[in-house]
Amino acid sequence: MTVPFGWYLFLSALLFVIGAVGVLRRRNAILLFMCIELMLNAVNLTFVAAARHLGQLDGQLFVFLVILVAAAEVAIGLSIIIAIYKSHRSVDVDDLKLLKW
Amino acid sequence: MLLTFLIFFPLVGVAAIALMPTFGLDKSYAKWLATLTAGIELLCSVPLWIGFDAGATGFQWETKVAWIESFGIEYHIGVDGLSMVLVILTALLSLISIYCSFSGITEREREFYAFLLLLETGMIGAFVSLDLFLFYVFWEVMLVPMYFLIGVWGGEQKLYAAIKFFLYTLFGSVLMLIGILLIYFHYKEASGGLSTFDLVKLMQFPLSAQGDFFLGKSTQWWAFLLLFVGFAIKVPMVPFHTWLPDAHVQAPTAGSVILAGVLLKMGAYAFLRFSLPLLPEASIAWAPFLMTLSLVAIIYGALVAMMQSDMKKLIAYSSVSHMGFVTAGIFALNYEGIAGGTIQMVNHGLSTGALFLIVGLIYERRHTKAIADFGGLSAKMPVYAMLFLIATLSSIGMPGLNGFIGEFTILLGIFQVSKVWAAIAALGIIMGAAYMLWLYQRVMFGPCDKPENQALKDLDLREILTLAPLIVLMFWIGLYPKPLFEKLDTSTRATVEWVRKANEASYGAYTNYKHRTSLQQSHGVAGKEEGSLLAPESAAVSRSDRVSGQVVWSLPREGGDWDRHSASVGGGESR
Amino acid sequence: MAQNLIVVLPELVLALLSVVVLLIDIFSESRSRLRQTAGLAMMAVVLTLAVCIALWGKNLSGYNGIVRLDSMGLLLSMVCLVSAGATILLASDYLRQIGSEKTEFFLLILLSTVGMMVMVKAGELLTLFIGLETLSIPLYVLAGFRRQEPRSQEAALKYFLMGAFASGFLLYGIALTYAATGTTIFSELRHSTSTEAIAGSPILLAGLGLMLVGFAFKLALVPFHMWAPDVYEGSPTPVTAFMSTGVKVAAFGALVRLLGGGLASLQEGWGTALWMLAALSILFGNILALKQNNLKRLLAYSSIAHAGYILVGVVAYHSLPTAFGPWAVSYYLAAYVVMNLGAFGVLILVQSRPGGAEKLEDLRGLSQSHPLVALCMTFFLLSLAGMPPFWGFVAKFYVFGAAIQAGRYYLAIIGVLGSLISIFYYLRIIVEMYMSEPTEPEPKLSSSLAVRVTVGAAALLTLLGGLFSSGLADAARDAIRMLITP
Repeated sequence: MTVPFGWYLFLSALLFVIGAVGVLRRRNAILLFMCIELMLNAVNLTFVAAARHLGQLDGQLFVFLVILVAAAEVAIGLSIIIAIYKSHRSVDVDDLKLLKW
Repeated sequence: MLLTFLIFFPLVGVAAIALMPTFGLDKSYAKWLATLTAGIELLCSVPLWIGFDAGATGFQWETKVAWIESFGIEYHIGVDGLSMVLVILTALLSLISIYCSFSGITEREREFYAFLLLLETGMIGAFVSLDLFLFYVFWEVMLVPMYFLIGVWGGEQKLYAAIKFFLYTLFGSVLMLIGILLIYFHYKEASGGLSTFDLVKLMQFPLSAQGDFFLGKSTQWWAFLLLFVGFAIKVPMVPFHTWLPDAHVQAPTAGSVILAGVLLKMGAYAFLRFSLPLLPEASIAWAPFLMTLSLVAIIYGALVAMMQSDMKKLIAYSSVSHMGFVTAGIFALNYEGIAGGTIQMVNHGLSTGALFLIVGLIYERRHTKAIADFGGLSAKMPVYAMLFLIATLSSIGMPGLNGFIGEFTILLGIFQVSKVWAAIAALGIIMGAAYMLWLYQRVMFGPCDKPENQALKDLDLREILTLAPLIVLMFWIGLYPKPLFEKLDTSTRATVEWVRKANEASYGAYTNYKHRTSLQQSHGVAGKEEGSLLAPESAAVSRSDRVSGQVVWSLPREGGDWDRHSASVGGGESR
Repeated sequence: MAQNLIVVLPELVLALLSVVVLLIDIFSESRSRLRQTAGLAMMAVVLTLAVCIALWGKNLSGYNGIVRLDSMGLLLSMVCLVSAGATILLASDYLRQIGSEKTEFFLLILLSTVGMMVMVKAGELLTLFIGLETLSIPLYVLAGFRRQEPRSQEAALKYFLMGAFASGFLLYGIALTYAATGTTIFSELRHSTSTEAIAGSPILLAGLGLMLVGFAFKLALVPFHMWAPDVYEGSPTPVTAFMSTGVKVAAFGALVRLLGGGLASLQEGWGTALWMLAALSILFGNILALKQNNLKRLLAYSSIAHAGYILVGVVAYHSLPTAFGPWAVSYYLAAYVVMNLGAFGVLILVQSRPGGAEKLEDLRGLSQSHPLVALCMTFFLLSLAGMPPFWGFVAKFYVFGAAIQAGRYYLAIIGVLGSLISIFYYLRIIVEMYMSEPTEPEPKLSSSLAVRVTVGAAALLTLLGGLFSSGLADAARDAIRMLITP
């Protein structure tokens, strides 16, 4: 017995929402960053499940692209956070108050 | 070509002034460069008057070049009697306003004269544009230099006045733009995909085949409303007038002269040029409303003018009152009203322009505009007193001077629509005489008891020269208006005829408009003495029609209502 | 095969050239490396522009339709390249002023431009996404390019977090669309969404909604705009200029393709969502701009409002055969890029403080100290405000005309009301320049010829674009006609 497609969609939606809420609620830049990664992985899950559901390979291919882009984002994002940490000694986004949010 | 030259020649002056430092000219030459430019401009506008064929219908000196083809936007310019007269007025007043600023403007002279010349380009362009889009562009081009003139060289409250002026006008003009687009797209639909902003083309289409106008009545109604706001702010009609006193009081003399002399005419001109021809049915529907506003403006402007203690403010409110006459004449929608409105536009330009110059002269000497600071000046400054008197009498409509001709003709027009309204308007004239004469009395007569006023010098030659052309024209129009009427005759007749035809076409034989025609006939009191002024009303009118001589315009409560009404009347139904 | 390569030729050229620039830069021992690299980058931009012009008029699709070479793509690519070129010209002097003479700046601009060009030519969702990331990632770095300046760092972090967050939404929307339709190629999407069953699928609608949210973040549309003023204020001024122009061009180009090309049959759904976004952006963008004293913030809010105007054109798309809407969008984008770059150029040109003018009072009395610069700025501001005879007026005219043509009168009215509000804050700058006394000492102008030429050219274009816009309008119209008939 296979798991129905809808369940995958539900799971990925749940993961995505958890990620999105995390971005809005958390104040630590690293945690924000991890939440965004969670969102991207929810997307990956959707792609894989959809590819399987549709009987195509395209969706699985897209996952590689997403992973690739996520890796590039990690590289840039972490270096920005490190730069911030060096000058502020903190990665809490609430400590960044020079510009009003 | 002549018109194109007239539009863009002032820009040559602007360029020359901008390049002055390159050629090592001292900035004091700016005023001479500007005077030279405006002088040549005026000279070149004279052939318009001489060469104008008063008998020919349609537009003269037309130029037509495609501009933005994908929208059918054209650089289409030309003049008829109405715009020809206003172009010359503009050229004259521009020259005068430049010449009168020689002593008043001492700071940032180059910019000042450059803005004045730029303004002249915008004004002349707006008067000769026959393409709605082009007209809108020039309309806005006028706005910016005027804003700077008030904002940089104005009085104490200049920023407030400048921004108020800018926003009011812009508010009106963006609504006007939507109205223009509305007309454009409806034309496109009705004509099966032709796109044009060309006034002439837009007017050719409607009455051709079906005898039906391309704009449905409710569309016309809305388009008129949108254009009305834009034009009425510029005129300004009550209740859109509140920017005017501020702008006038704060503006430098040259700015006031141009503002009163030309910019205010722009709104009334636009009613005549665009609203009536393009939206004839809506014009008739809206006419009672506009007439009411005009009468309110006449009385209200006069009353408020009486209360003023500042000379410029008083003249500003008198402008509201006088422009009320102009719009009242136009929306009488008959020959006398429109002809008188046009003449009155010119008159107001001359007399109010002169009055602002006169106030400017005394302001330069005393640095105050408060009426209470003066008194008994006539003994110190006899020439000044005389010129002031002539301008005052012209403004209040003394027979023999220009104001009388305009106001009398307008009253003739209003009288044919309603005697009561004519009486109210006449009351406005009397009040006008009251506040102007009172102003004159307080400034000129009485004891000269202020020590500052003792040493006042009379006008020098340059100052007299700035006023002289205006005074001459006042007498000319007042004593021998025939040439002016002749030049205006064809275009006025065409406008009246056009409104009548469009209206007949959509209402059929026995409708409101006929009643009004009958009214015109039965009350054509002036028919004998002013025979040359009257439009030939050919309709044979029966007695019974004539009896129902009440005010017969009716505003549609909503578009649909109106359509039903006309359908029941059985005339040619419009879309 | 050859056709595939031709389709991506401009991107290929620019990407390769940027690698070449990088290599030359690494091994260069020249003392004026900054100028050298800027010159090389400029040459790369010009060369790519030449390629685009050479390809003009072609209508090809490559790699099974995932990239399309058509007039709209080329037109918007060229607009992006102009934006990049102007940014490079503005930046070389700026970098010297702020004492951060790092040549990577130009390379990052070039790479970001590659992403933009991919985005406006994308014929498929994932390609669109890759383009978006290619343009965004260099921009995250550029936003933080003033490393000594804490505000710049903050801007980088904010831009990065918001950008990544938005990408997540967009990507999830793409995934759901894929799940619902089984394809990500626009032409196939158009085909499959024409059936009732798929068009009404809740998964597809959710996907559409999420993609719109992603776009709204990227375009800084109200209510997804809160990051924009901060990022615009904190970033180095040339980067702000680039962000506020190039990114918008790319995102709007992709949006028009996606909605008009792929999801045209869902017009009911996205039409409503977008007109609300447009109305909110116009109103709030303009209202919030009123109180700003920081010029970069002010221009940020003004660019939010302008995104709203452009969106009016997208909404007016209405799948009309005459396709007036997207034409207006392309046209508006071109005009907007020029006048906005010009305004930022003036900020860089007037050196009231290191890195150029920033506060409103930095421009005080500019008309007396530097009349020509003040005149240019007046051109840009009046054009942004939509006054004739400037280019911005013609652009607004087209956009609102499109709205009226599509029967969306209320949008046109909201648009003109917004323009009216905008007059207030644009006039504030003009008042500051013309009607206030100059400060002592008078601000110096940047000595860089490149900056002056850029500002002057932009001012000239702003004026001429308004007067002689016929040719460009026709080009834009052709561009769209090709989009409609693939």
